[in-house]
Amino acid sequence: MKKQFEEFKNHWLGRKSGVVTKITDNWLKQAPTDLKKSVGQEFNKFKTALEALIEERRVGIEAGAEEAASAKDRVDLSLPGVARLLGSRHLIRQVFQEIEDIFFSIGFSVVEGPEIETPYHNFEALNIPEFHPVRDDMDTFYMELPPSSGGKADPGQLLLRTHNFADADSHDGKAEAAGARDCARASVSPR
Amino acid sequence: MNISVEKTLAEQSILTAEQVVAAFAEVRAQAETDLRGVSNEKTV
Repeated sequence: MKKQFEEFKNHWLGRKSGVVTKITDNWLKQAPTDLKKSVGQEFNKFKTALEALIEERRVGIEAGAEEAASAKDRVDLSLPGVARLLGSRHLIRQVFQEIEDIFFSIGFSVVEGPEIETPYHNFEALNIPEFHPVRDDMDTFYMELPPSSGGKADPGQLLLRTHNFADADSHDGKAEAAGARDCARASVSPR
Repeated sequence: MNISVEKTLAEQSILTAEQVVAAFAEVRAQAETDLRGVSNEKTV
């Protein structure tokens, strides 16, 4: 705006080719003798009015600029504050997620499954034969069904999942929802 | 602006005091219009 104002001022009051200078040269100096007085009077009125207009606008522009500057610096106390999250993810969890992201990027997905699993899903489906030592009750925790389930006690019917790949088997490698990533039981499996 | 500041008053057939007053009024009106254009711009 200031630039435009300066252009306007130069156009009208410029010493070399301003409108006022041209009026002086072409109208006032070239005026016939009988009109010289009235041209001079009108010229003075015009010049005074023009200078007053320009001064008024200059004051307005400066006031506007100051107001704009102060508005820029003003702090609006009614605005809501910056919400800061409480706490942060543990370093181990962050590393865990980074590793997951690496696997995601090469086509793996995260699946989630139960911690209590059947022997079939935990062993047979993963080609772990019946005579494999890992299936001994020294290495695998077999569980009895609770009485409330109505089933008879049958050790070996369920077990505590011994490895995460049991999930991949029981889910046929299908990707779970993104929320599964946060589950401690989640495992990475190929798609 | 019909009136021109590049030409003399005589060249524009302005020969009476009334015509001089009208000529200056026209120039002033033009100045006010130009200045309004400046003031309408958004202050940055």
